[in-house]
Amino acid sequence: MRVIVQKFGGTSVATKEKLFVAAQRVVRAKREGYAPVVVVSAPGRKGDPYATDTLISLAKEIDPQVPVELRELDLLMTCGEIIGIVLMAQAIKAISGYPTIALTGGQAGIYTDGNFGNARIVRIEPNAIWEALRKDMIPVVAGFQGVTERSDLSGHGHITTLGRGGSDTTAGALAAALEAEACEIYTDVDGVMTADPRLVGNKARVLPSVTYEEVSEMAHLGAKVVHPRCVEIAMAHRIPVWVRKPESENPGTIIKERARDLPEKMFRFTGVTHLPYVAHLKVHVTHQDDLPEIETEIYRLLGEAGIVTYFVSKSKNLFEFAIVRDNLEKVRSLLDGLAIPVSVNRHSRLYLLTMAQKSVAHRERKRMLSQIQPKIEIVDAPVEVTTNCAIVSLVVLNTREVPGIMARILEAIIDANISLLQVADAQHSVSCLVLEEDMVKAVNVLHDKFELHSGVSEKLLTL
Amino acid sequence: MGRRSERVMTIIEPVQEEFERKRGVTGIAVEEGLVHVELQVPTNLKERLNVFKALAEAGVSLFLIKFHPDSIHFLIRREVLNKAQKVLQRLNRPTKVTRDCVLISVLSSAMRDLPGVMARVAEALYEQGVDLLETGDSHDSVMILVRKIDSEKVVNALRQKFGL
Repeated sequence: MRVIVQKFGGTSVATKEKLFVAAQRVVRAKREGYAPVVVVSAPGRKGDPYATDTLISLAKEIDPQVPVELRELDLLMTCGEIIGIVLMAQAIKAISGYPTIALTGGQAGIYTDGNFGNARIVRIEPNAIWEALRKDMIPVVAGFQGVTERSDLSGHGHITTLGRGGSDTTAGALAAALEAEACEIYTDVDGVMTADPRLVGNKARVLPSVTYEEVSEMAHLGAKVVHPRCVEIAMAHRIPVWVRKPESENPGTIIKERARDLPEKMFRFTGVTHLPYVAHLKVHVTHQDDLPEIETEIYRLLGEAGIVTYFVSKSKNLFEFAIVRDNLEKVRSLLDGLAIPVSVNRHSRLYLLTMAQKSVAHRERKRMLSQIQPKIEIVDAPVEVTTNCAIVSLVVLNTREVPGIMARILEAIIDANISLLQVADAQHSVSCLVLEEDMVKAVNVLHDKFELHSGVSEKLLTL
Repeated sequence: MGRRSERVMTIIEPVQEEFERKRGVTGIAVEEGLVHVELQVPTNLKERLNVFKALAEAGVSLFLIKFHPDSIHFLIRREVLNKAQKVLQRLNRPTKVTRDCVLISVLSSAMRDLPGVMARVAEALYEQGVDLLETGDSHDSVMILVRKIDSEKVVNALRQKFGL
C-alpha cells in the first residue's frame, strides 16, 4: 500500500470553495493509486470563529478572574480541528463518493505525555488508520491533538494539544508511524522560499529541493513554512516532506535527505530569514576576574524567570546577549538595581547593575548600600540596552566548509550603510544582529549579494 | 588524508526510546583540533572586512566568529593553521593564537524554547574554575570553547549538570 499523508492548514479549509480544492487534492492522490491519510487543522486564521484563540476566549470570558484549567483548555482547543475533519471527510465524500472516516488524534492512536497545551508524542498505535485503509476508506485525522494513557478520572485518556505547529507535527508523526512514501504539507505559499516575498517582492524564489537541516534552520530563524518538530520527526524517519499550495500546479518544495548524507564539501546558499522584536544587552564589568561570577548570576536569574538568551558572547570586560523584546521589561525589573557581591582573589566587591544612567533609584540604592556595607567597594556595572533590534540570517548548507561568507556579508552590510551589532554562526547559518529599522534593507542586500534571486539556491555547489 | 578523517568529533547522546524526542538538553558534542584566534582590529567594519577578505582569499573557513569592541575572534581548524598564519603575519596586527582548543556543544532540538541552559553551562564552568575562551549559541546548541586540558572535566561537569 502506497501511503501518503496530506496535511491541510487552517486557510486551506477556511471556506467551502477552499475545502473542495483541498478535497480534490486528496481525491487526485487516491485516483493515482495512493492510500491518502489526511490531517486537518482548525478552519480559518486567528480571530475566525473556530480558530484556537477564539475558542480560548469563550472560556476565559465566563469570568476573567477564574483561570481555566489547562486540561479543559485543551478540550476546548481541539474542537476546531474536530470541526475541520468532519467537514473535510464530508467534502471528499461529496465530490468523489469515496468512503471516509473522521478520527480525533486519540482515535488515530496518537499518545502523548500529560503536558497540556504543549504535549509531546510518546507513541503512535495507528491500528484504526490501518483498518480504515484496508477497507479502502480515507482516514481524516484531526491535527494538533493526542491523548494520554487511560486515566481513572476519564476512563479514556485525557485529550491533549501538541502546542505550536501541532498539525504539522501530527502529519510528520503519522507519516513516520505509517512509513508513508511522503508527507505533503499544503499551505498558503508555493513552497519554501529564499526569503519572505513581503520583504523582497518578486525576487523571492521557491526552492525546489532543500535538506531537512536547511528548512529546520530557516524555520528556527524566522521563516514560517513548516514547523521544525515535523521536520525533526521526518528527518529521523527519512520521510520526504513536500510543501505546496493546494490550488497550484507548481510542484512546490521537497524537503529530503540529511546534510550528513551529502559529501562534506557540498554547500548551498539557501535563503535569508528575519526575526524582528529583539533587544540587545551589554553588561560592562570593571574587573575582568569578576566577570564569570556576575555572568553566572545573571544567567541564573534570567533562566529562573524563563527568559532565553540569544547571541551570547563575552570579552574581557563585558558580556552580551539578546532577548525577545517582549521580555525586556521583565529583564529590567530583574537587573536594574541588582546588587551582586563578588569575592575573587581576596577582593570583595559589590556590583550594582544599572540600566538607566544617573537614575534616582540607582543613586539611592548606592547610598543605602554604602551605609549598610561601608567597608565593601561598590562598583557600578552599566547595562547598555539597544531596544529595537532584529536578527537577519543567511542560511547556508554547511556554512563552516565555505570560506569567505563573512567577507561577503560584511561587504553587503557596509555598502548598504547598515549598523552591525553582532554576528553569530551555526552549522547551517550566519546571523547578523542589526537595528530593526535596517531589517528589510539587510534582508534585501543579503538576498542580492548571494544572488538568491538568480536560482543559485537550486543546486548544491562544490568547494 | 581527507579533511573529515582529521577531525575528532564525539557526540554523547542517550538512546531515544519514545516517538518524539524529549525536550530539553539531549546531548553533548565535542569537537577537537581547533585553533582560537583573537585579532586586534578596530570597530570600523571596513578594516574588519579586509581581514575576512584576506582569510577568504587564502581559502580559510572560519566559525564561531565574534565581534568585540577592539578585536575579532574566530575559530579555525588545525589543518588550515599554517595557511591562516601566513595571512595573519601579512596583516601585521596584534594576534593571540590558542592551539589545542575543544568546542563543546550542549545540544537541544529547540534551544530557543529552553530557558536556563546558558545559566547551567555558566555554573558548571564557574564551579570547575575553567577559563572560558569563547561562547556562542544557535537554535540547537550552546557552544563553549575551552582548552583541551580542561575539556574532560568540563564535559563531565556538563553531563552531571544535564543528567546525560
